[in-house]
Amino acid sequence: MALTSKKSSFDLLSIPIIKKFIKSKWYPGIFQWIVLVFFTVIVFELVAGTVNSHRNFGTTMTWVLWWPIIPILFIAMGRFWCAICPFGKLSDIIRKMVGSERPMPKFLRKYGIWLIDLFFIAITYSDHVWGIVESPRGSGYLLLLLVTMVVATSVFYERRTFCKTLCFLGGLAGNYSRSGALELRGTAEICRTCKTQSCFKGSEQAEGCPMFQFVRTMDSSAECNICGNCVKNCPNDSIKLHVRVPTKELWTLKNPKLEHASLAAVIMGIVFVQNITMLEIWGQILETISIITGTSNYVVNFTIAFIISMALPILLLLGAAKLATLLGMPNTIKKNFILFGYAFIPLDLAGHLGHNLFHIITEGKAIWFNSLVFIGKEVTSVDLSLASTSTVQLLQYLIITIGFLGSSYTAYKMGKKASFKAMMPYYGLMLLLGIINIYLFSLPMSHRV
Amino acid sequence: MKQWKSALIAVLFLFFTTHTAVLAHEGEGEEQETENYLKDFSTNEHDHSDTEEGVTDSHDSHEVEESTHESEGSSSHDSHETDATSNHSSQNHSETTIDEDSHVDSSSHDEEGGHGTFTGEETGPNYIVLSSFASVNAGFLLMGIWNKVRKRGNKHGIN
Repeated sequence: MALTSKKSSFDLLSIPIIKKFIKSKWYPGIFQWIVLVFFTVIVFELVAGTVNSHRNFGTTMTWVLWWPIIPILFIAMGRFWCAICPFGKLSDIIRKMVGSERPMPKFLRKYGIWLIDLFFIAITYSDHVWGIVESPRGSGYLLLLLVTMVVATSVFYERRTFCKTLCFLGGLAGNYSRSGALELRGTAEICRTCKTQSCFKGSEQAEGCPMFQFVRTMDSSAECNICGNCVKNCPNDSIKLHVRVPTKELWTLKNPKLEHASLAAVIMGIVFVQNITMLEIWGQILETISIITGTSNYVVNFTIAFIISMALPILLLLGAAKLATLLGMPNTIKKNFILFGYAFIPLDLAGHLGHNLFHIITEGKAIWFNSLVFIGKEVTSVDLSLASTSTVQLLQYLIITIGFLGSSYTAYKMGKKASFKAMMPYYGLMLLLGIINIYLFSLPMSHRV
Repeated sequence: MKQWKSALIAVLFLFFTTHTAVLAHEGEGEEQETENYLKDFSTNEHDHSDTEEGVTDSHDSHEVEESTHESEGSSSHDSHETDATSNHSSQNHSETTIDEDSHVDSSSHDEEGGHGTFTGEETGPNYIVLSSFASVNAGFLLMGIWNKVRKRGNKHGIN
């Protein structure tokens, strides 16, 4: 049983106004509808607005504002974004109207996270080969493709099958939320004697957990959207919403899984790809690859760079696991690979945040300008940056350092009684990844808009 | 609650109808407006080879000639069939002085601020793609309705 035993951490639901709001029918509906309206406008702009990505309101709001804010939201509020996500709301509406509510297929239950891993890799690859971020139409079609997937799954299957097993952002959210500062759990003494199980089954107040979670056994924030359904449904007032130290969940993982560890490593690879392809030296890298491959075909050369970037963190982790085992770390190489893969998460978050910080700060005014253009105002200013690039760099170095410390401390906590010698490969790996990230951030980078 | 939802639908409907009307008039005086905007909002420094071919979307160009790519200022996706040995070092959106070991000099944004110039043609929405998405989604929704109707029929003993 994985219930709360946090006597010292602060329970947000002990604040009456927050508890009342979460229990009310306005939560999370009010946020969902606002986000849904914005989403509709953004999709409309992407597919029907200007094809100039520098001027397109949808492109700016999606890739300059939303995408950089997402990791901050995950750190501060766990998977709250998933509770208010327009795709999730769309799924709720469709299921309510025409849903068959069939059980989630076994295939998805078993391989869902692997599919998320694959989708994430496929979307990143497609972005670089066909261009999605820089093309308003491409971004719009990607969102419409996701809408189609949401519609298809919601028509047939119960709860948020799409969010749990197919949404690439859901996979990212799940991994990042393990490092988040919010944690929803039940109270052990109350849940133990509960007969209704309405947090999972639902009640007249709200439907059961849309993410198929049972609070009594929930030991991770990776699949809790903080939608508040369990708070509404629980007749025993058992649910607590604790503020916790970020990354704390990673210190004592009970059931680490290969697919989650792989996703953490894949995200590191994706951060590398995103950084490298926006750097000045990207041309030189392509040039070097083209000499080896003997072809000037961009797709071929990019594919090789992509495979190397994706494989690098996985191979490094595997190497560290093998070395650690040789140096006396208990458990097998596979077990160590899986467990310490989770230690990548704080560095993943830092890399993602650092990369996007560059965009939101150096292109931040585009949000304002393109919003003005969207409502028909004239724009005369030419400066898009909110701060100098040296300031951004300083912040990036700081974030990567925090990420490195977070990952190293997580590895230290995971190691438990392992000797310093056995832990050395992991500390070395985190340091190496931190240095690679800092080096990449020190190079000139291009903009999105 | 129902009233609130109706109001929301009405607002959305009004938005789309007015926006569609605006789109219908798209292009009227657009040249002048685009010119003004570009003057204000971009550096106009980059020679996008795409324009020579009249390409509207930077990603549509997959076979740009090597020589034109020498001065490419946009992202790496702009050309997929270009010679990878061509000079990509000017990829950065700002063509001001670049220090080897640092990001692009911030003054490039402060003084010029632009992030690339769009000199292609504006195009309207691709109705073929959109209607494909609409029909696939409508198909799924119809399946859902059919399932509901069938379930209801079974409940009332109608086969």
